[in-house]
Amino acid sequence: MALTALIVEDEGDLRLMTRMILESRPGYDVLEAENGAEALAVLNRSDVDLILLDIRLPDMEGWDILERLTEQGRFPKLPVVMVSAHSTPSTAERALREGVRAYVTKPFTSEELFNAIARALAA
Amino acid sequence: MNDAIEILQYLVAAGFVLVALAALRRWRRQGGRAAAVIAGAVGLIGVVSILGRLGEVTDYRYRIMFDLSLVGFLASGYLLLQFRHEFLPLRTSVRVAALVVTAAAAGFLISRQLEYGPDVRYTGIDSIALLVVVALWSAMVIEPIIQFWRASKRRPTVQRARLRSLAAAYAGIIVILVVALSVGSDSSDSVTLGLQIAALALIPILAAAIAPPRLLRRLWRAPEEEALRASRDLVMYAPDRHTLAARAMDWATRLVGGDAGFIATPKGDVLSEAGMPHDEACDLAARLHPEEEATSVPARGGAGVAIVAPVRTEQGTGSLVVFSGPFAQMFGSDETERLDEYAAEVGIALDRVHLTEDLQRLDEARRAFIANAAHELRTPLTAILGFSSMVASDPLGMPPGQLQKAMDAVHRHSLRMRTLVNNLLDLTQIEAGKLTVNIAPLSLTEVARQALENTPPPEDKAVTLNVPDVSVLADRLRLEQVFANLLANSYKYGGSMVAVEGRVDDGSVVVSVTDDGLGIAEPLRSRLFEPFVRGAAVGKEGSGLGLAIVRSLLRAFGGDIWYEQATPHGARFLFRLECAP
Repeated sequence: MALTALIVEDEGDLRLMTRMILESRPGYDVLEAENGAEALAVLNRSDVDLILLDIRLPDMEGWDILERLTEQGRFPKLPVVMVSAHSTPSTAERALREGVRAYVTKPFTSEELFNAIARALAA
Repeated sequence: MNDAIEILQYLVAAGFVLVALAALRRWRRQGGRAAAVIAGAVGLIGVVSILGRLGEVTDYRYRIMFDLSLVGFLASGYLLLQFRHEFLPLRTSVRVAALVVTAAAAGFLISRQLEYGPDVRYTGIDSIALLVVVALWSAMVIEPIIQFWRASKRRPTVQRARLRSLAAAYAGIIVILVVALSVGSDSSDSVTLGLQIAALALIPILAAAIAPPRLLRRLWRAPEEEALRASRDLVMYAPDRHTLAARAMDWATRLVGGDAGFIATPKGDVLSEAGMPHDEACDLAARLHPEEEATSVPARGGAGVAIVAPVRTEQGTGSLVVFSGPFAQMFGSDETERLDEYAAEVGIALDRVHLTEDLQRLDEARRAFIANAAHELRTPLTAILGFSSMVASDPLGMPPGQLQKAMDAVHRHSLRMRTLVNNLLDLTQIEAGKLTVNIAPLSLTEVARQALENTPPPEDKAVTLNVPDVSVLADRLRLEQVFANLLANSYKYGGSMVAVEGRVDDGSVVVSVTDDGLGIAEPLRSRLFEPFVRGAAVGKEGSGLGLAIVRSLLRAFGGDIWYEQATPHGARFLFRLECAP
């Protein structure tokens, strides 16, 4: 049974990279969104099992998407990996407060990404 | 005994005249009608006592001396009232009435042809008339005395002391007159002697009011000095210009007993104001210009003065303006001088704060630069690390197509990172002045042609090159880099046409690179040449350093670059280069 993962990331090459990392292991169906609006549209239309969510997006913040999902009652049931460009204590604190169980900081290795995914799925 | 009295009488007369001369000297040096008026008032008292002595010496032969004494005496009283009017304006009707009554009294007494001689006893209407004259004089003097005493409250120490001295001296004169009149000419020599000594004692008090010596002023000021020292530290170590100005303003108004004021920069921007609306301060700042030293100018329609002191800073001369009551000009010369010194200190403090603020700005810019640089490096590094870690974790298991794709991306981002790092190094070296530029005469057309060859337009775009064949002063490779950066920008953000043109302009040449794209959004234009500044529409490819480098290079050649919006649309970058002689 394949896991449908949504990559929300505005930089094209980084989307491609994340997709290739996921597809290098069996069991992932990958969807992509390059901004917040697109991500919300995909989430409304498809069953998504996992989100890799960049915090800094051109049209909104990753946190806004989380908030929307919480309103819809899908989060925190839905596993989410926050991808941050800059890890500060306040980011970590916020992630904890928002109920995010996993996050990775750019730049990351493929292994670090899979570890984060495992943490998100395990919870 | 008589000799002693005589000598004392001469001394008193001379004392009044000397004080009057001191007031006149003040008036000639510093102007202000009030000083002239008080010189007249005090001088006339001196003249009247001299006339008294002269009458005795000439055996009362010249009646005119008696008449002159009468007129002089009344005029001295009237002048004190006029003096009060200079500070606290009286209604015209009051002044005219006082003048008419005074003149009438003088006229009446002169017409009575009073007996003139030693030890005269006046009787009947004459004695009453004389009493009226003294009463009139006292009335014209007592009213100002009360006013001056009242005004002395809430004044800074020196002003207060001077105003009170003036009131006290005149009160003393009245007392002496009343005593002299009441004992009449029968008075014993000892009473006369006592009165003369008392009159002599009044001279220094009067002098202290009108022309106080430096030592006395320092003594009066002593209680304020401590507070001034404390304020000096507060001002000198203020964290920023506005706090500094607010603190300085607070003290400056106290220093001269003012109730309002402001501090303005050399450009006329108001840093701080007190007791007045900001707009009014800005208005006045544009009109009141500081001179070499602090000056008092009439303000508020004559009901007060503005003391304008120059605040000298490295950026030019600003102004410290304090509005004060009407007495400051005559009685506050000391404070005006102090304000001058104070303004000089404020200038030094402003320079210090300016330096601190500059350092803070530089430090912030440095932090921002590092943060931006790290941020720009992160994206390519993320791609490189992500792709390479994926390949490394399973190099043999990957399908060849995927492997190729991953390695392409690693390669592309490595190149991007190299450009970024090179640009960063370039920029920091240029900014630090460490970039070696080989400035030599170059053919502008040749360099432009070479640059165009190195950076050719994409297939769907065309460049027209039309620059004058002049020799310019620049570094060859670096000038090619300038052209390359500008051309690359035009290819990226412009339409299908790019025009490179130039015109010679008074020993230099202005080159323009114009495209037919959308141009640059207004809010971005002023910061266009700062590092890491990019428009929202601009792709992620650039580092945001290109234009910053171009500007730094051109400045290293002694030129500069600026931006204009092209018509009907498009971006136009213009840069100036010195022509070789």
